[in-house]
Amino acid sequence: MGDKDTISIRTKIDASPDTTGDGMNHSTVPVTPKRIKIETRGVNMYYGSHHALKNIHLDIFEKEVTALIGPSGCGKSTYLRLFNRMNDLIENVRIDGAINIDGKNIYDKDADVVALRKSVGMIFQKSNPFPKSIYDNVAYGLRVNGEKSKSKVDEVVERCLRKAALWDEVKDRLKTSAYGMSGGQQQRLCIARALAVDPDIILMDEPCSALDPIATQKIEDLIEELKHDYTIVIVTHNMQQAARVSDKTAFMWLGELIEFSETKKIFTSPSQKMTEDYITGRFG
Amino acid sequence: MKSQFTEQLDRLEKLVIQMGSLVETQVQETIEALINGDQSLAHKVIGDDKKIDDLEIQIDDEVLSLLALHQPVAFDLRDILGISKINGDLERIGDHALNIAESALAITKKDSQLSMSNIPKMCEVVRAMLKDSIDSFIHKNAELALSVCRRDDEIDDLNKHLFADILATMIKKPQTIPTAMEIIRISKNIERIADLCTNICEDVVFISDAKSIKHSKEQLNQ
Repeated sequence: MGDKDTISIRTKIDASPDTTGDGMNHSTVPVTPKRIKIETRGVNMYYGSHHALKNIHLDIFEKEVTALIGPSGCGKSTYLRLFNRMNDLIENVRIDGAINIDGKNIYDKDADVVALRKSVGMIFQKSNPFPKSIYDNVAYGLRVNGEKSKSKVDEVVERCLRKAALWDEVKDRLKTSAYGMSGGQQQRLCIARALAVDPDIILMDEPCSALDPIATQKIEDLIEELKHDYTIVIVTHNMQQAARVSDKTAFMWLGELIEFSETKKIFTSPSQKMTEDYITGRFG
Repeated sequence: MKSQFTEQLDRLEKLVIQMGSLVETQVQETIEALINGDQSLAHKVIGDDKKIDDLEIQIDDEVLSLLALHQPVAFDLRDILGISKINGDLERIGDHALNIAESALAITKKDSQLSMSNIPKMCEVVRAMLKDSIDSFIHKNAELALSVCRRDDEIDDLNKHLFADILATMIKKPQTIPTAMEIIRISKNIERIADLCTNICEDVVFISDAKSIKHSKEQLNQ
């Protein structure tokens, strides 16, 4: 998919929503157009000689959930990790093109990677709490950033645990080890920990793949809540999850972006045959 | 190797084609019973309606199972939703064939010489519409489906003319009223079969092209 398709999607999204389905805009309340939070422009990425991402153009909108789907090895996690420059840590990686967050290319030579990673939180497949108490896990980022005020830390810990829908379950055992929590609670703790440093963007790499259905539902409900305040990009192998939680979906295959559109469109009438074949389980 | 889902979906498609074939036979036989005054054939149509009812329930079960177990998307989702509606439409066509068979029996008992007016022509048109609507589903042919929708007006016109014609006869010859009422009932049932063929074809367009053409005559002329 090239620039032309991306532009047509932007045009559609920028227009006021059609609330009645008849093609007309009946809304009398002015609707603020969604702002582009992350722009990907002509991004190529190589692991040594392996061309892992091929000329990706994509716009991710503010305070929306964007899902990246595709078969294993298609480059979706690699692409996700570009947004907080995690791929910098891998040897023999070469990246060209631009990724602009709020209009600034995060791959510019003068980009502040520490500030970037503060503003772009990441949740992984397997929950990874620190071997500390529940309280200290959430407080960790604040303390590393030099926050000394106990009352301020208390306030942020409570606010983030509430935002992560965990407060009521742990408020009476904040000083106990995070390792005593269930897998689903640990994952929500990791989300609370990411929120504590006040990010704009949250990246999630298969955040529910190790969780049972109840814990998965809690994380999905949480994503729905969080998107009011944060821009969320999620990689998932669970197509139903992508359909449930995301506003837009990008389908990738062998390092290429095949299709990007409204999630409803992708899952009811995708434009590309390859997308159709993948989501209906005919390949991948 | 075909997936379990694909096999189950293939089986569902075959059941709908079997249902379509049964309904087509019912309509064909009810028309023959009516035109030829064949009472035994009319009784056969009435008796065979249960086969359609049973098949409708079987298809409903298969649809439910596919939706619950496989959460289909894209074409598969449209196909299964369309099949669910087409299944109901075919069952209703079966009921209208049964109604016509009952009226055919009533007419033969009344032994009236009243002309059938436009009924033979309406039967001819609706039989072709039903055949094409089922063919359009089998081949997922949106063009053919749209052509069926365009023919619905022809049946509506024939029905209107028949009503005016029969009304004039009833005024002139009141003794024909009981038979005339049956003919009007038959005409109405044929007109409803044509409407249901149109519904089937709207669902075929939805399955094939992901477009809803319900309640929009303009799209038929594009």
